[in-house]
Amino acid sequence: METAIIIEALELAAKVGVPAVQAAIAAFNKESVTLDDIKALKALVQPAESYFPANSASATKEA
Amino acid sequence: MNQKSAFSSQTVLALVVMAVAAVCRYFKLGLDDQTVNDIAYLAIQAACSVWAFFAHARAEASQPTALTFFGMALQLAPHVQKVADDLSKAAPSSPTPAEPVDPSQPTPAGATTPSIGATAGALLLCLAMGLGLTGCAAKGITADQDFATTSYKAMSTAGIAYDAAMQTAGVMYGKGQITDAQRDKIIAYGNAFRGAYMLSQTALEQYVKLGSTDATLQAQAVQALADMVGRLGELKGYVDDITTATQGGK
Repeated sequence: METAIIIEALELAAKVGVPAVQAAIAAFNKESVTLDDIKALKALVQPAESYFPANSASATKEA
Repeated sequence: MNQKSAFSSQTVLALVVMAVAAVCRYFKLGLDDQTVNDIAYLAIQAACSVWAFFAHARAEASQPTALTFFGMALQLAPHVQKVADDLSKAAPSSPTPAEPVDPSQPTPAGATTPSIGATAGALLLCLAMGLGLTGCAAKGITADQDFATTSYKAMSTAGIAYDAAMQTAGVMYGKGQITDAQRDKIIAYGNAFRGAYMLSQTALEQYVKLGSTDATLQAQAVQALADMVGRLGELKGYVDDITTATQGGK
């Protein structure tokens, strides 16, 4: 059973990255949340534009 | 997992699958067996993942068990969206009546609409979340703290999934594997999710600030969370489709 859980966790880490899994575990570890925790959620997601480099090499056009 | 939580999860699974079957029959979607099986499977995944959030909050599930289901939750949204898209395409032109899931139930007449597929996908998630919340309330848990904690965990999960999907898209764009048009669409999906996420955050903050067990405030927060999950499904589904196409083309 524990082996299956470890494999599942590894697969998850491969998909979303180790820091993301650590963050998820930290969130799951919280017994209770405060107002500050909820306010901090705002900083978790950045505007979509910020993920794309301004001068990308992409030049392919939509078919 | 103890006996009580196992029973709760089984009950949730049964209810969700029954609801899906009822929706399919009612709207006479003309689905083949495989699609119905896919929907049932996704419904089970939905129920499992939502159950994990709430069961862990109630200390009925260990962290690794919850993490396992969390993995399923991350994979769930794009699949729901895909089935929803398939239903949207299939529903208007379905020439045959629906495959009855439960022969003992009559099949009422009903017209299909192009949006029913997307509605069914959203319904699955909303229903699962609603059942989870109802389960918590039924167990007499302090409403505000439990609701705030589980909602916080759901939002953290969604935020992490969003960040992972956008980082993947950003890297692929940098390598020229995503076109400008696709990037624009990803940005549109991403900002739609971010808007829903911020609305959820605001609703949850209001709920905690007022220290309330107000059903209206809680309902607003649940609605915002459900919308956020739907937006995440759209984004992840689109990015996953591009990733799969890119990998398949190599």
